[in-house]
Amino acid sequence: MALNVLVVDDSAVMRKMIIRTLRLSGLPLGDVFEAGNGQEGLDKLSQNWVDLALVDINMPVMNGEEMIDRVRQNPETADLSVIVVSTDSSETRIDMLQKKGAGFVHKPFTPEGLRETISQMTGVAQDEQSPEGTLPGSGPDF
Amino acid sequence: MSNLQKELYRAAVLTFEELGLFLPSPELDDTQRQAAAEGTVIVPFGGPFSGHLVVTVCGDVLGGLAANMLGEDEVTEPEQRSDALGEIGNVICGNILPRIAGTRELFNLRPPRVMLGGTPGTGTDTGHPAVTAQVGLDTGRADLALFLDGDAAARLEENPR
Amino acid sequence: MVVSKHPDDSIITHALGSCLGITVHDPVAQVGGLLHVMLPLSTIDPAKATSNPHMFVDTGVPRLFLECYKLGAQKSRVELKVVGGACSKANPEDDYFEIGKRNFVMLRKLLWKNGVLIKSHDVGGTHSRTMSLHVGTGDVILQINGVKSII
Repeated sequence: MALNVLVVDDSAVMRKMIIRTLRLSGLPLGDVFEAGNGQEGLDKLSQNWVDLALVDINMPVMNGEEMIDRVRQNPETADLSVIVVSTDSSETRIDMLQKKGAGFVHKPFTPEGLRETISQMTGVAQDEQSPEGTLPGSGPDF
Repeated sequence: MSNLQKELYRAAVLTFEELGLFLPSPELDDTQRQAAAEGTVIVPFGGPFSGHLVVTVCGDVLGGLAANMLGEDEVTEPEQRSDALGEIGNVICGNILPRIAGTRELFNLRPPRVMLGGTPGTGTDTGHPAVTAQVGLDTGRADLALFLDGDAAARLEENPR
Repeated sequence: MVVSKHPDDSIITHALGSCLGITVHDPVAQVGGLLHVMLPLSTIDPAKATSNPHMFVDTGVPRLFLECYKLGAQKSRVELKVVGGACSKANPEDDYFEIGKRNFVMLRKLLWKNGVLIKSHDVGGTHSRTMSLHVGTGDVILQINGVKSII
């Protein structure tokens, strides 16, 4: 089963980091969609089938919490797997997010930690032998 | 070093190591000390107390920072350098607040405002920072200043978490 | 650094303090290698870097991969494990040079740039470690204070 993933973060660099981790992780990846805030994220969800959303909390226009609330209120997206990737590590916030059925990864994250949480949330194991498990490096190191 | 200063330094080191993949140093050499400002990020926040964090990166650091984050050799686009600095500020701010206010307190961080170039440690600030810290980064450095509104700084120093 | 394509071989390194022990293993080609690096950056001593590039993370790790490729390993199949990087003082606050931590940060940077994730690791703390790689299975046996575990 290929996973279609939506990455919602107001930082384009952070979105690229998350997507790079997804591609390196050996998870069976389908389409990857990007959004710069919660509203854009909802728009992408209304136009595409998505299996997993990785969502930041502090964003302009619409923050991640409001986006998750709306996702849960919409019958078409209510069961979407959501992982919050945020610098906000308040226990109160994490409790609130868990009640909304979201996983949590704290920034700064390691790619291995993000991979682990995605595997747990989706129940999809990484394919150990996946040729997508590595990316060509930009440098000549190895 | 005060408790607040220690926590600011630790949050910065953690972020530059894990997100920026830099090897931060606690002490600065002459080259690092004299490096010119390359960019500043301001991250305002609200919650049990409000304020903002200012991070100024000095020297030829931003290109390497963005490149490390993206896993590339070099990043020349100003947008990506600016975005990388914004995220560094965001993550440092998000990590310093629970360290000084306690892990159950809820804060809301507003989007980082980034200015490339400029003068070290200024931004748009009025008044004095509650605490400052410096971190050596390759041939440059990062200057950090945490501004807290009201009497929050005094209360936090009196009742460290 | 030692690399091998003999499935019965085990490669071992002792007394990993702040140093890192890094293994790569291709389970299909049954090729494995172990590198024991001491310092993060070769630029600190260019002469040493030339005579013994395996001392440094930035020069040693590429060689580890390239030597394994010569024996038939493929990057897409390689699994990487890391052990060591301990703090050299009982109290981390006293570890001024933080060599162990810096070694691991440098390794992370190199792996991220080259598109390789770590399969498993046991890094940090204050204890000395011994590790061995079984070339046939890829199992890494970690030994701390006489207690063995597989990572």
